Amino acid sequence: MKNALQNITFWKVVAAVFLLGGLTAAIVRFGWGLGAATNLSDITPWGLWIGFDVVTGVGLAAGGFTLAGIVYIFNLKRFKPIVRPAILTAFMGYCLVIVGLLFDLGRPWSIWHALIYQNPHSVLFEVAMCVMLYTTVLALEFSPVVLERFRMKRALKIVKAITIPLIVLGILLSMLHQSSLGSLYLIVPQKMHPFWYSPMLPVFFFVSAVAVGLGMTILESYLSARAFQKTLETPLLRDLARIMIGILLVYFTARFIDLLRRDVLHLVFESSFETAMLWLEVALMLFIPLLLFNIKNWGRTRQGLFFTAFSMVLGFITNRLNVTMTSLERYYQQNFGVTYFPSIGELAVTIAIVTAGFVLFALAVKYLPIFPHHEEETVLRFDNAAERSPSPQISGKPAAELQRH
Amino acid sequence: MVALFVILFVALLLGIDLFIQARSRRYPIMAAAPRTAIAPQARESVRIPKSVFFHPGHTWARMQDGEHLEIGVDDFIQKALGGIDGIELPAAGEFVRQGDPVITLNHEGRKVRLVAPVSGYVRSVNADAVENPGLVSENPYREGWLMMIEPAELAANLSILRVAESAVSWVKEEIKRFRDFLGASMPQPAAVGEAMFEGGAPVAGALEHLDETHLQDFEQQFLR
Repeated sequence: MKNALQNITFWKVVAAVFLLGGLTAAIVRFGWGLGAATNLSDITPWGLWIGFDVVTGVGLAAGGFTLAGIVYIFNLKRFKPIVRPAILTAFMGYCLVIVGLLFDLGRPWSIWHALIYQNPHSVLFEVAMCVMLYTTVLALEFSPVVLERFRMKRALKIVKAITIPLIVLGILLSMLHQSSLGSLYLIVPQKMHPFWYSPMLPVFFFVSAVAVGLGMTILESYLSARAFQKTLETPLLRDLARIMIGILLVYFTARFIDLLRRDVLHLVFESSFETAMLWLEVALMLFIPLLLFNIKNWGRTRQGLFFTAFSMVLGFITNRLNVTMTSLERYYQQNFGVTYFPSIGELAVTIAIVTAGFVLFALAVKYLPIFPHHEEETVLRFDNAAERSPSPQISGKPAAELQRH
Repeated sequence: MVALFVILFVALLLGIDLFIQARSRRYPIMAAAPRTAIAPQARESVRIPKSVFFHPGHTWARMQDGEHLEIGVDDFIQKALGGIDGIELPAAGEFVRQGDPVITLNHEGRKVRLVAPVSGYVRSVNADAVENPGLVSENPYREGWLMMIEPAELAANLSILRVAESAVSWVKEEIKRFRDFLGASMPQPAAVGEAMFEGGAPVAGALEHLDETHLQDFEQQFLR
């Protein structure tokens, strides 16, 4: 009992509260419908669940195809130790995106309709097909972890034989739907603020997804190392951060040129809420990571990498929410007098979905061979009381004795 | 407004986490210097990899490619120091003898000297670790290695090194000895606090509380 109580941490209690809140909101949503649980309306049909759970969630799960591409297509094998956690994040991310989508759909039981009643002219159709197919591909890419764990050698051999075609298919599908999520907003140029509406949105969505995929890989590696006292692949993560910053520089150069060509660059010095949000996005996504990464003697340590990646990921979230929410707010206010803000139920569901992601990731890392095997080690606490990870196979022979054998 | 709300919410969660971590000293950059050398709920721990050979002076050696040994300082000493600001090493080509003080660690203007775990010629030094001593704090056994040595009298040197279970027992004893040493060496009772009598343990950076004389005693008793 005492041990069980000692294992309760602040974040475990917070996670339990968040999950409970989400469960309650889910009961209201599916028991009484969207009207009772959300602030969505015919004027603002897409709210937090689409903006964050789906559009942002898919981007945050981009580490799977990015790392798979780096290792299997560009043949940079040294990054292989961090492919599995990236694929795990992607697989869980997509599963949670689908959960978020089920909450948002008016008739979630008809989600399979896209398969049968196809509308090939719709961008949503492409997104639906790609998400379904890519989640299947991710399940197969992730399956070796489970098959290894349960020693199913024959099945493992079959999956390994089709790894490369799977990776290629996964990258193709990701490229399609990461950009298609941007394409969704091409049909509402009159509603969006010119900072975020651009004919280049699909390209911007794809490029920023590649960068955030790397950022998420750094974050999850850091948090796993912290939680499970694992060795962090710091040199690899440092290289990922370097690539991430390179991609961000290309991305923001392209966005700058885009603003210039559409003749809206002068708006970035106007005093408005949208301008503040744009600068927040640029600061979090580019300026702060660039600054942190280049702090001498700290930027490239594990903490430096964590804060660099965290700022970038936060900037990415700001970008996606700016596209899906901030850019539309003024239009709704001026034309309908409506201001959308998510209800407690919507917030509770989104927070619970993110929490579930953390919990599932932690369980997977704990029980499945996600991270590479590191050399066995014992961890002794300074209070001299506990040996946290005794290694049962240690030979126990002093050096001189080992030498004699 | 929704975007701003989400960002502020995530930033708040990070802030809470930083506060919790700073309290448990997992973010060395965020945490204040320890107020006492021994605390009742000290959570520091030391890692002892199975494949590393430990010298009683808190340095280690690991066979690298059949010909060379990687040399470094152990997790115990870097935790006791609470941080490393600078590292001084012999130049490549120099001969070092087992037990001779050859590694100097600086922390906040104070120096400790550690001995070579084996005798041999220094073939290379880890310039990354010298330039960025934080690597030693992060992982003293991997990225934080310090020198590559071509051993000269390995068979004789190995007799005093400890490995595996023997190393674990030795580190256990060292922690106890360190706790007792701190209790006896503190310049004022406040620096140890009542924690000493409540079963407290050394905190990271406990050596910051020693005056120069006791730091020299520490070197003599623990690093030789």
